[in-house]
Amino acid sequence: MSSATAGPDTRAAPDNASPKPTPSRRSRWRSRSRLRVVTSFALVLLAAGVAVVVGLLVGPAPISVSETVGALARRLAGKVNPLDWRETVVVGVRLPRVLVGFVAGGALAVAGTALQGLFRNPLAEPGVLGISSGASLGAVLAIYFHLAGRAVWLLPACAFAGAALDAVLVFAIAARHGRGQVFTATLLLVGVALMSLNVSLTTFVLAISLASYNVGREVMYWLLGGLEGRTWDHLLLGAPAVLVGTAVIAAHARDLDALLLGEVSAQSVGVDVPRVRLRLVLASALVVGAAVAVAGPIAFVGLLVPHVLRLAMGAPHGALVPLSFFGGGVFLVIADVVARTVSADLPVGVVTAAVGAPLFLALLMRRRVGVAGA
Amino acid sequence: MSLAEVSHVTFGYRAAPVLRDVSFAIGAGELVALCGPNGAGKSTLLRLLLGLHAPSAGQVTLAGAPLSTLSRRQIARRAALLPQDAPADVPLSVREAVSLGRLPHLGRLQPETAADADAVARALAATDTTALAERPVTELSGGERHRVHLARALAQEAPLLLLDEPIAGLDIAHQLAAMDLLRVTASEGRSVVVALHDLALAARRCDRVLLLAGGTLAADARPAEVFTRETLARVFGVEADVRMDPTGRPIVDILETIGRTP
Repeated sequence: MSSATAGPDTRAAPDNASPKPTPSRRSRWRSRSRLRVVTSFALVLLAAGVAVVVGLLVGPAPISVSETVGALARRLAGKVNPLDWRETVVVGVRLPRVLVGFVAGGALAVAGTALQGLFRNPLAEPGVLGISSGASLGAVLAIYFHLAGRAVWLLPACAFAGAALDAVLVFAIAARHGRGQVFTATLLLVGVALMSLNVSLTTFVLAISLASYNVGREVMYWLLGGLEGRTWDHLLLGAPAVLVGTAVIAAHARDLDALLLGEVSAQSVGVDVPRVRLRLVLASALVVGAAVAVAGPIAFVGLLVPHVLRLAMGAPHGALVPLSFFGGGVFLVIADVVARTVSADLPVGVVTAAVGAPLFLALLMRRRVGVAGA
Repeated sequence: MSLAEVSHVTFGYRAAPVLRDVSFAIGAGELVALCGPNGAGKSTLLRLLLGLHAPSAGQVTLAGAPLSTLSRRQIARRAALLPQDAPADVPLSVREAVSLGRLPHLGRLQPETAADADAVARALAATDTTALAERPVTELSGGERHRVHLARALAQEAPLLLLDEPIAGLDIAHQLAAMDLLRVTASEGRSVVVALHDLALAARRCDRVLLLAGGTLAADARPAEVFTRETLARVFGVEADVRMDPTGRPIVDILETIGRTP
């Protein structure tokens, strides 16, 4: 048992063992990849600016660009004129609606990115762990028991509690079973089971609430997902949770990259997979719970946006997570503009699915869509 | 101090014991073959060395520190594992995938340094994958992908390299190149433990053989002492022809499964 016998086999190192790539080649690659990242960020930020501006300008009340800018400028300067109805519409109605939409869309897309990477599954989206359906159940119960009317924060709080309860349940049940790949599969299965349970309970609440026209209508409307009547209170309730959760997910970008190599390889490079998985699922639950709480259940953002960005960008999560946030925000704000333009009563959730599903199918047909992305 | 020490380790999945009272130590600069029939516990032993399983009895230490006292990151700086079933659908470029080997050396938000880029370049060159660096892993052939995963483990630059069947998917030239690479890696002072099914290659290229059979360490010695006709018949149930080459290395020629006639 010694290395002394190495002699005869220690031939000259194979000729491929030593030459290093030339520095110029390496730096050229790096600049090309950096260029792609910079371009993507520039495009997404530009789109975000355009989406917010369009969101502020479009609506049933005719308010010109200069009036909109003027209203915002006066408000920024601290000069509030409560008698100017245009100012009220821009700053009190449209701006919070746009911002709530942006934050909720961003949250759903970030959670989709995290969950797709974590489960190495292109079908993973904010719904898979039953989190968003748990939030819906909480919200619907709040409406049914007339809590929603008492304070503006009660409905979001109940929705959020539903999401949190669901995340804890999924983990607690799944944790009783195996580790590694088995645990991941169990997590998804438990999530699917809880989602079905949540959906049936939500439908039950909807059915019994139909006894009262107003309550039934309110429940139904909330379930369609919309940004109607969102206020600064909604933004203040949702945004901090979304930002914290997004920051946690962004901080684990490299762990998500490592998980693409498989769980064992990820552990080999020092990723504490069970702990990282717990953090990522809880962070996803946080952002999805907050998004659903303030914007209602909105389909397809969490599935579509990460896919489109992966096709454009490749998979490294360091860029993908922040890009998803802005991409999801842009998508939801634009979808809301479309919804408002088509009909004052059309919920944005209908538009995201109606636009998102055909777009997703088109992508599928053009090239293979997967976690594999490119 | 040895790089790794396994002392009286017993482990089983649920009730069934896989390994019983296994003890050995790995010193610096060794190239060790881990051999044994299917189900002998080779992969399990490699995972125990990385702390992916906790032994039900006994202890594993890396560079003197018990695994139970080390964080996953600390373990990753001491040992790198190439699993047998590394996935094919890795949606990264080759360079991005290999760069992940540098993770244990980087802070959570710390960018890669020049030293990391050099380690990646060395790993790519050593595995003959430099020319593939910008290609997506998904577009590679099976053999190329194996080499990329090997490059990831090399880029980790851990003193102990644990490889689970790293050459199974490679053509014969790349098998030999990979074994040469492990030889060079060991001669540079790192240690390599490689699970191998190819007994002839293990006999020819490794310094030392750990032979697992029925959950116990049946042999731990130089290839010439382990690969005898009797041992091969007893452990693998095969009839073999074993000769010595002029340097005293065994040349193993597996002829037939015992009990069968050609």
